[in-house]
Amino acid sequence: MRKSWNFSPYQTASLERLLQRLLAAFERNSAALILPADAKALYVRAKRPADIATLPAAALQCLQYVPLKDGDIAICNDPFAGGTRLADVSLVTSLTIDAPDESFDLLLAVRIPFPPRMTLSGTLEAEGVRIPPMPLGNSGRLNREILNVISQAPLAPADFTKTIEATVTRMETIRRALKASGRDPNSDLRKSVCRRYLQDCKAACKTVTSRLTLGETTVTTNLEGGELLKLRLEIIDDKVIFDFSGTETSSTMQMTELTTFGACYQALCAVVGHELPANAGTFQLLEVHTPARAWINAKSPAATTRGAGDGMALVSSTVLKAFARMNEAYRVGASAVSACRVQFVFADGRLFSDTTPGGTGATRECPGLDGWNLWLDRDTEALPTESAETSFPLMVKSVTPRAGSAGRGRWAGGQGISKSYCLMAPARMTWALEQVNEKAEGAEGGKPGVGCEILVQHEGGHGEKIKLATQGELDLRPGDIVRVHSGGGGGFGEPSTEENKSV
Amino acid sequence: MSCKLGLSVGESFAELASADTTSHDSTSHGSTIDPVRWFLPRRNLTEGLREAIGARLAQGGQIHVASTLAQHAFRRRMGAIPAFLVTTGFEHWLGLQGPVLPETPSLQPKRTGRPLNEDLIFGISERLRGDGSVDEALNPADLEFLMSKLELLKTKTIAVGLLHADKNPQHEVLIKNYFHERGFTVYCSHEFSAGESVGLTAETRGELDRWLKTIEAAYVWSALTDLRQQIDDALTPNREKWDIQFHSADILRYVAKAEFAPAARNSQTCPYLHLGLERFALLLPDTKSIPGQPISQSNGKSSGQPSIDVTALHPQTLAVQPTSAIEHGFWPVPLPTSSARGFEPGPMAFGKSLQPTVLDVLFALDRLEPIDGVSTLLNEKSRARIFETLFTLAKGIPGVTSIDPRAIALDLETTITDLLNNELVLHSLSGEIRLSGALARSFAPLLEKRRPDLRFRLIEKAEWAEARACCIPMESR
Repeated sequence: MRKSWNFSPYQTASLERLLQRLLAAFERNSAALILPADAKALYVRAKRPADIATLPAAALQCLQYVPLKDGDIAICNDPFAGGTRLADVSLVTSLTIDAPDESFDLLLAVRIPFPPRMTLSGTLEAEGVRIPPMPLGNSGRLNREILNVISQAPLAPADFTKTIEATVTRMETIRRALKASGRDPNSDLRKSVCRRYLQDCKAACKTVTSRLTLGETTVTTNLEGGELLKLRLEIIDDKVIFDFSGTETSSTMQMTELTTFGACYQALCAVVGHELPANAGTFQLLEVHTPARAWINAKSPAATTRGAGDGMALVSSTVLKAFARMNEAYRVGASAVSACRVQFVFADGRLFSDTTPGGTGATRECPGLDGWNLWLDRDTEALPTESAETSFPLMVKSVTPRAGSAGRGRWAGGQGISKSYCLMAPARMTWALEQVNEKAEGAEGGKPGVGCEILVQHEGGHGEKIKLATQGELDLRPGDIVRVHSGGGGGFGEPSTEENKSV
Repeated sequence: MSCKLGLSVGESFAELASADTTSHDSTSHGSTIDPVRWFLPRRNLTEGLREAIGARLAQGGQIHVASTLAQHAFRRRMGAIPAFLVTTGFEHWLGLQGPVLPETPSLQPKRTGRPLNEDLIFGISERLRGDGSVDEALNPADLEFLMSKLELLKTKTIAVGLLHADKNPQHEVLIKNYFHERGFTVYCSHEFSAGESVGLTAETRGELDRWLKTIEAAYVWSALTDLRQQIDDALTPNREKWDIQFHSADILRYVAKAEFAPAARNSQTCPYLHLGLERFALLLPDTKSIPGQPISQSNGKSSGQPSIDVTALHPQTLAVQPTSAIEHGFWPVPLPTSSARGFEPGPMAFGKSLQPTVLDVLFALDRLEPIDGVSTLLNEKSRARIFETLFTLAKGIPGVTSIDPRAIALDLETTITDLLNNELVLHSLSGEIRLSGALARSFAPLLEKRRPDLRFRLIEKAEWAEARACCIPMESR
């Protein structure tokens, strides 16, 4: 190589920027590069925290079951083969980097989030079509027969074929760019630099985590159904240990062990206040222990859609609680956990799925944010109203901040959102809420936010609003109105006396 | 002999060039002037323009103006802030959908790009269905009530964003007519097509995109009116001898047009790397990037307001910018950030700032070629301070006891060049790449060294690409 770098971090940072820029081309999709020879994640661009550890795992699972040569493509969505939930489909392709001095292989993995199907049955198959690791194409060409078979399955996502085709085209572009970069004699895309990048990441990450307070603490949280989530957080010299021993099983909330890892990782990133690179180098600093049969270590054929949403948020929120107990600098008002997901399945089979994010907790320096899920996937962004109304027989009547939902304090928490839907055709609604009764706590004297709820007003029901249970299914008729109120974030600091008087 | 001039007004710099300049020697061409650039915080647009035109003021001519005001007006809330009328129930919708930063998990997320304060957003009782049919008719009595509120706010510009107005604009048209008759300038969302917009990600479509564009237009109209006033002042007392044409909000659109259009006719298109003082961008010769005629333009003499084009194409902004700050992040070495800091307080080389930027690295290493209007701003004494700051930023490198600040600057220079090259890699570019912009000459040797397999060619008068390109739409019409 031409470069005479004075300091190794410049070379590894430059490699990182190259990978970052190339994978950014996938926009909303998470993407990852894996060194198959070492079975290590080289770079993960996780748009959603659930993908941090699961996407590299899915790529390696595909490689294990599908002999991938340069340009071959594999597909899978099985949560128990490196996935998160059935709606999240992974595509994996292999590429050989023909560098002037050596050649080496990479796996390029991309995850496509389709609208998730939520069920209360607790079984995986009810949530969609399950795709184990299987070949999908050779030399950049798709096997359309396989694609057609999957897309014609009864619970296959809408626009499946079109979306996969578009993503494969983009993967091919990035694959070509990576190969071209490998041929460039001045490029940093070299096996030796990749390996040093992982070492440098680990070292740099250790510098960051060494500022954490050493010690240990145990915190607990309860699910809406009463099941326990128990975490012992221990910070020693070069490790952050998340031990979930004592966490119970749950019939309604399930998530995979690797999704739990992602939840811990994102909470750690939030605490250290840095964008830690997600790769095998930095992953080594975390140790996550999840007991067998606990809801955070679900086994096939458990349904994982709720776990990959509200479950993740609950774990991250609990991890933050543990950090705050060890060091008051991390004390903030808690954020509303539930994404308040509701789905309407219309008579023709169309699935409308939407979330209503709650408020975030206030911090020492600023109030919380209205309607933003701190811990959840970025795909919880609501659909544009016009798109929803054009594609589905419903009207969104209003979307407003939920007055009075924020926890009071020196800084108030973020407000939840009130969203109303009016059905224009019969539909079956499914919903599941979390933290209805256990509200987002305030910090340092701040008050808790108001919990979430869903109300239904039936057409011809004389305006009576019926509050729904925390989860369930309900048949709706045209004219019925569904009001979703997400929870508010916790406040920070004692509310002012003036405010107390007025309240 | 009258002049035809291109005036490019950026956030911090303005540049003026003749459309038909073939030489910088003004004495040889009666209809041309020396191209000139000036730093707006030191000399305002009126003064700079008057001085640049000088004795030709009385001769008159044409001035083609393009400005990045569209981007800045929105972000910096320049001009008069408009009121926004929206379907009742969605008064907060735009604000709630603003991008949240940082993108990574943070305990203090912040929503950015909120276009308006909520007290300037008003709900209108009306509703259209997804197919454009009327669910709830607009009640004109509501507009009278709203009129009194707007009068109290003393706003004269209104943006209107109603749901599904693109399918049925009748309610928006009613509102527009009502307020237009009462002296308001009204922009309606059905007048704007879908596509990417400032402050929204590409995947966020639908009403939000259209509404943002409508608000942008309202902001920009006001800001452009101020701009036009400054130009009018500069041309006084010979204003009537000058024809002023306002063009697209994005100057780079014209840089692309100026170079792509003739090349496309010969089937010889190649990508452009624009390395301007305020912005680095890549322009690709595909159908999306080749602009057609300006969507709207108006003659300054005949029209009451300058037309604007906020639907201009979006050249791809690069991950490194001329004023990207050099900071210490996760890595234990100083590195350039992705966002531009602009020229307030400016690079350290200008003598006021304490934080080095990409421009400072080039200046410290003596790589900056002379740039008209910039060279005089550079303070030689600041070179030592830049190295000193880089030394301080690099002090934390573990295991390194002796640091040579020049070596750090050289590593940074390589990193900056790599960041530019990443864009070329992403698009698998090969063959010839044309360079334009005031910094193109400074970067050309670095790029040639980094990518010897590519041919980098400076376009004619690359330094003045932005001002010269302003005249192109009229010439090619």
